[in-house]
Amino acid sequence: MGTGKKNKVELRDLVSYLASNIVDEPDMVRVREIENGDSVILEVSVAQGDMGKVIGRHGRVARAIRTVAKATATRQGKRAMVEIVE
Amino acid sequence: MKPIEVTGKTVDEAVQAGLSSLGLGKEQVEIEVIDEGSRGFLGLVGMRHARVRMGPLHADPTPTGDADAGRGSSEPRPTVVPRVPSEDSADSIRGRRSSVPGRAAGTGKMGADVGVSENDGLSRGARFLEGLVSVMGLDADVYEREADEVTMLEIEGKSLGVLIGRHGETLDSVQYLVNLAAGRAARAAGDEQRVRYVVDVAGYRKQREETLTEMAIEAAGKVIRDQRNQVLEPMSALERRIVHMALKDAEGVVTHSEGREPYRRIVISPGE
Repeated sequence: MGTGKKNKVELRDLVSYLASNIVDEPDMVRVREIENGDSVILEVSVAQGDMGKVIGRHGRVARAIRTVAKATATRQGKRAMVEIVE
Repeated sequence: MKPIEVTGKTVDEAVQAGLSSLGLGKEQVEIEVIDEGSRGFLGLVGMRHARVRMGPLHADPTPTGDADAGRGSSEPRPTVVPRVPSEDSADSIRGRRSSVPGRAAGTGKMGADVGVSENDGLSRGARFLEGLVSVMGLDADVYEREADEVTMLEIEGKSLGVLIGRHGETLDSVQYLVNLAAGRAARAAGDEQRVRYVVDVAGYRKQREETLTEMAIEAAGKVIRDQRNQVLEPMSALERRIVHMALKDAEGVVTHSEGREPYRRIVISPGE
């Protein structure tokens, strides 16, 4: 707590937290983080039956996850891309 | 820094003027509306300027100006979620003008149901949001409050611009995810009760509501003058609702929405 150092936010933990809380099988949620300089790709995979849940109607859920992840990344001077993979 | 008093044509303009003279962002100040002002009849006659008093919210020695741009020097701190907002934090920002429903306000019906099945007295939405704020590395607290038909989750803290985003885009996403996560948790627990959550950050929605209401009335005035339709910018369902409500009882205009999400927009037309 309060070491005075800048708080390190793990984007992977963030995306994983979001995904786990909206699927039926949270244990099956995997997030792979691929860093390339200031860009971060977050690959999310979930149980087959939960695909629709993380994408949502018209991709609305995926878009919300992206928005929150991007905002958080921007705050750290990074660019985040969230991809949902099979 | 001492509180200052500013005036403007509207509350919004007064606040803007105050912010620039203080050099602070909206999230960093405490605003008390002394006089909402009066736009008279559709901004034509009987106008009175709005007056607000404002000062820094926290004893924060580093005014950064733009919270959105802040790289966030906040230290991690465990988020505490008091069930009832304390006098000096969540409530103060709304100003005395609005009668803030406290713990027992609202219908009471939903308030009693929320939390009953919870282990720590917090609603599912509040617990999810608390976790989200913490995993985002923000130095903030979540307050829960029952309002008409919805549960209000209010986030207070430092450098929270990141949670708002452009035109509240991030805030809307956060709110959507809170409702989704809470809904799933409720279903998993066999709870049929559907709770709708509204998430706000440092009074942002309140502020936005005032802006939209102003804009709606201005546009309605133009419709009446020109007797022609006015098409507004695309807005979210929540924002469109604010505009519809603002003009619900306005004479001489009717409102409806056109188009598909996310480009759905309000059209104000001449009418009774």
